[in-house]
Amino acid sequence: MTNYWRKIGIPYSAATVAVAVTTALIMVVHADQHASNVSMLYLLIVTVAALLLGRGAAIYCSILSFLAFDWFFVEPRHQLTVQSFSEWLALCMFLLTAIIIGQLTALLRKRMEEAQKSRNETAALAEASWAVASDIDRDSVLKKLMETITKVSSAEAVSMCLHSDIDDESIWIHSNSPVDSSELSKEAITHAMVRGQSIGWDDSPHWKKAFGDLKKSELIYLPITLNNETFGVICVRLKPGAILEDSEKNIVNSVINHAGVVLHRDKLLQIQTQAKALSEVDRLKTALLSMVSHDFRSPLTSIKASVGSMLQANSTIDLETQTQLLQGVDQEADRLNKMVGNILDLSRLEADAWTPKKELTTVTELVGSVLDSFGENENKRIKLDIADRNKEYSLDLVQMTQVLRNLIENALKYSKDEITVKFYNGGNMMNIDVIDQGPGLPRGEEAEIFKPFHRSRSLQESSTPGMGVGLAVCKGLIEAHKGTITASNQSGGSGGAIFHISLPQDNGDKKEQ
Amino acid sequence: MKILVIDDEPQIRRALRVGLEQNNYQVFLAASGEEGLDLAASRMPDLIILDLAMPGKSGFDVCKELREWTKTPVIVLSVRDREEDKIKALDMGADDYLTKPFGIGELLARARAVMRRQAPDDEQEQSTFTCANLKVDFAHRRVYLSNEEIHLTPKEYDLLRYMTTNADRVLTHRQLLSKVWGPEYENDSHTLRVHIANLRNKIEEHPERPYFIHTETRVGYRFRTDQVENHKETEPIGT
Repeated sequence: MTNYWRKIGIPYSAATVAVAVTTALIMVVHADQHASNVSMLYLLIVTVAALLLGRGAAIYCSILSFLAFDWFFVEPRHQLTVQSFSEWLALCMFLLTAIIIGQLTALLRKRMEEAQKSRNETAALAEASWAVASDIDRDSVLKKLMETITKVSSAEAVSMCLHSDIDDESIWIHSNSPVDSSELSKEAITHAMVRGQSIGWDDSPHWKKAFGDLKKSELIYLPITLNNETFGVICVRLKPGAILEDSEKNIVNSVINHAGVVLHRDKLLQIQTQAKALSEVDRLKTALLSMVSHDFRSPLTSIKASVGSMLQANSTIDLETQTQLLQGVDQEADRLNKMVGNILDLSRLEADAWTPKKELTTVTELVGSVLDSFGENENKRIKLDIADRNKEYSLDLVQMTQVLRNLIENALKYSKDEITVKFYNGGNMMNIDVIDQGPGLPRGEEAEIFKPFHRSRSLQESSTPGMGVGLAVCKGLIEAHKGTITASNQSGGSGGAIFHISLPQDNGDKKEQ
Repeated sequence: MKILVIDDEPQIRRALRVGLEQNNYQVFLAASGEEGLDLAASRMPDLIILDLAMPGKSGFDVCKELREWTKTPVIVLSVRDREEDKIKALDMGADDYLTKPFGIGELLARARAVMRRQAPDDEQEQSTFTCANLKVDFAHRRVYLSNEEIHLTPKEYDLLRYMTTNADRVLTHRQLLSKVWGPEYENDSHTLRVHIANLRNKIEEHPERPYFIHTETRVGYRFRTDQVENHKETEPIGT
């Protein structure tokens, strides 16, 4: 109704008013002495109407002007008789002027509208290209592209269905005005996805035959295709009664091509990530194999040898030697158990299965549960330096205990003297230093030592036990806590290593019970 | 003394039989939960060693059924990293747990500790508790450290009292909270941690190297009177 009023009502009323006002003016100022002047005035009105109100209103205005002219100013007045040739001429002039100028104006207007539209389209496309180029997140780019479609065409709602190679399932991405899922036809999506053919886009008989009943849903299904590969389907609902013009189709096509580029890029990225992960897994496998062959076999060998010699039928081993052999077996079994534990830890680390259960924990509690696992002799070598032993920190007690145990074990292994474990605050952080008096870290390997199965080159052939898993586990756990762990050598001559841990302490971390 | 071992693995049963018999215990072996329950009823053992992971009737079920009619101490065996299982078993009435693999020395120490205590929860036969330089006078609610009285808040005293009357036993967070604070507090483990920290500050010479109150990580606490077996690690650790 409003639309009708705006399109028809306003221009025609305006034309009527304009003619009425002009007639009244002429009568007031008595300009009707000269019939030619009067006709010129009406002509002016017709011209203005053609310029401002469109063709239909202009023609209406010219006829009205003629009638008014004839009725009020041509003798005999107040009669609709057309007698003289000049009057016919005036009528024809009015009509012609109205038509020509109306036509010209309409043309001009259309040109201007087209120019404006093409400016909008160019801007939208530029924006889309910019989004494709600048934004890495796939979904947000695709969303922007779908917004572009609604902006530049008569599309009202847009959604996108992507095909996932990984689990063979569909992923939906919706624009801010999504297509309602109840409207969508699964058959049509599958068809578009599998065949790469669009549905509802042009009147190709293809889909009509297959999906004759779909037309009433008024949805358009467009495959997103690049290099003969279909990545997904865009579903579009047009505004009621609207159709896509050719220029709109072009721009929609070009946006869809953009989407194709984005999805293609995303796929390549995924492949790259997978390849990277695979090569890392491969490296770990190789390392694990070599470790199993070396580190596992040596304790097994000594266990088998000890037990074997005791099992010999004519064994003459004295009790003392027997005890020694059995102690050896016991120790080697512990060592094997530790290795199995390490590999379990590592596999969980690789599987990203570390989710810290953070709880407010006092330093005392953490230290207590760490030191508990060390023997008396080892405990004597561990020096503590605690700034505030009752300070509470948000951390996973089990995981942090594991980290500190690993670090302290490591320090005890490489250092023959005392080691120091220092707890202090700094900023909004919990800071822990583990400092030893050993030979320090080999230059240039400070970051490498946190890699799984890394063993310092100088140690590779040595008999110092270990398989380069403990520190990797530490790093994984600290990172799961969103903290950092670094290793460096002490400045000055003493040369020992320092492992430094910082754990961020959110103020928002309330106790979690 | 009679010990019943319930474990589905024959190697472990054999090893435990040898280890325990050498220490003059009489040993009964059961290969399944059902068999274990039968033997528990017919032989009336003084201690039951129970594997949690068994086919058929699980260790949890056995523990639950045992607790319906007997207070015989139960030590459960679990694999590492299953704190939930340990807690569940302890809450079901098990007295202690050991993590596989374990040394026979460790098992013997735990066995001695749980058998030393008979019916720990109920009566208060003794009016005082003494361990090293710590003395708790239950009658007068007083605590002495090296013969000097130390002041505890009422909750700290209740906590210490409950722990000392259940000495050498793992007490889960839930057990401590519901016994000392009341059942409605049984999930407030932060409160417990704060009180344990305060208690340690008052009774321990080095709170970060506790002599009395040991943390059983994520499971609970144990008041230790037997310090000898202290240094055997219960969990394998990384390098």
